[in-house]
Amino acid sequence: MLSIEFRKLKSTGFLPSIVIGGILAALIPILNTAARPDTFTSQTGPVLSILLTANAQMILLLHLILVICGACTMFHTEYAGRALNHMLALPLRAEGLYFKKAIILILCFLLLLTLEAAGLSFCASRWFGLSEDFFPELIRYLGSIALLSLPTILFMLLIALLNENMWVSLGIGITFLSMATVLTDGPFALKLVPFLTPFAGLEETCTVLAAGDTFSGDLKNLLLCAVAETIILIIAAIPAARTRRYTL
Amino acid sequence: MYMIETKNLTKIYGNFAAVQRLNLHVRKGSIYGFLGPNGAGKSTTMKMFLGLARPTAGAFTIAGMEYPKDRMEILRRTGSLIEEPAFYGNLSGRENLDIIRKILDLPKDSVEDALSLTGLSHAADRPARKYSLGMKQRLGLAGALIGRPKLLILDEPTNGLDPAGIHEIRTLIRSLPEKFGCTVLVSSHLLPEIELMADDIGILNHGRLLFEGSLEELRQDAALRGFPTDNLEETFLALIDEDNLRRRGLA
Repeated sequence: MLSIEFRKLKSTGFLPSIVIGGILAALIPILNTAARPDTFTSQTGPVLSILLTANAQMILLLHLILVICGACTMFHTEYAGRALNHMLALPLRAEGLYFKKAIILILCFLLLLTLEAAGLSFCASRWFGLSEDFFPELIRYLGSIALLSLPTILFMLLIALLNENMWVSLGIGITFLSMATVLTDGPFALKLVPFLTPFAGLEETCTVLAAGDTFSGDLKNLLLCAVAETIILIIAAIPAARTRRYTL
Repeated sequence: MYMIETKNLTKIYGNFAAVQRLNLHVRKGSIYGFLGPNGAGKSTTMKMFLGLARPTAGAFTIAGMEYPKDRMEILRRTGSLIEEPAFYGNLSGRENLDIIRKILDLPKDSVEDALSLTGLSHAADRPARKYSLGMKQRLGLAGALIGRPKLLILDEPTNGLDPAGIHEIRTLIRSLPEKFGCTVLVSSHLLPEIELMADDIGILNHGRLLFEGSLEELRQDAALRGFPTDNLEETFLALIDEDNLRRRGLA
């Protein structure tokens, strides 16, 4: 039934935005390095660490903006023509609608990460030379970011489900994203707020890579908490979606 | 044998009783006209049947199946159009119906069937957001009729239609029990339409059922009580006025 959810996104600009946004994000490290190659090639340390320190925050910011817009678009199509009212009068589970959209948004996020990987790999091969541990480190980094971003994706979809007005969902998402870019230096508990988690994880990952370490204690804890948050959000989505049926 | 049977069905929002101890009986294979002024509780009752509003008290069965235990099976056999037509504006009429078809696991030709039943075939490939009000209403009806369900719940199905469209839809609804073995619960403000369509009627006011029975029984009841019996509209208004006066007297 994912095909039905994909069909609903036709003519909304959702998929083109994801692809174009992903390509733009992937171009960030390429353009940044191309503009001033000596700034980066003169640095010592792992290539991935150099590239991520310079570019990862901007890339992640763009990715999460796409997630916010994607989640809002997905539920706007349901609310705009009151289609959701009719969907919930069909033999469909309300939470099933939410989870199918979550799967699509997560798949789109993985596409964004794939494009990011392509951009970073091109930079590394063009200006630095690819070392044998570049790709394993890249996969570890992308896997961490994917896991840390799961609560953000699910949380944003939940916000979009609960708000009929797309602008309210968009406003909440942008507000949380703005907070995330300035509050990453706070206590560990603050880093567990969904939009903050991927940015907090980003700093930890860059530090770990620069030191040539495996996962630090803080990063491991962050990853475990992200898994726990994902499970909590999945469980919370079920009554939220079912109750939404009665409040339309 | 009743298609829909309710037992003291009640819905209360805060301190407002939208539906109070409703005992409705919709005969299988009949057209039941559900009448009432604005805010009487008709849409709320229909929403409860579809699981879009949770009953505060009471129970109901549809085709012998109980809610909420058999909710999915009830919805599989029910087509509905509640309040305004609902659709994906970015998709064409055909694509909208195809989504419903896939969810209900119907054969591919049921989309064309629904389009031709409602006279939408010529505009099926246009985006639904570009439809006129009448076309949107027809699309909503097509979404309810697709797959020829055993029960149709229609809330003001002729809203927004021109006289020719109203005649067309009325004729269609009238033919459904005989052609497709369908039961229809239809609400409308157009009392002359209900008079031409319905086998039985139920009159709701402030959440309470004032009358339920055939049109002939309504005329006899009205005659006994000294109400006008010339047409349904006058009988209906007299019943509602009497109930409102009684409620004010009690208040």
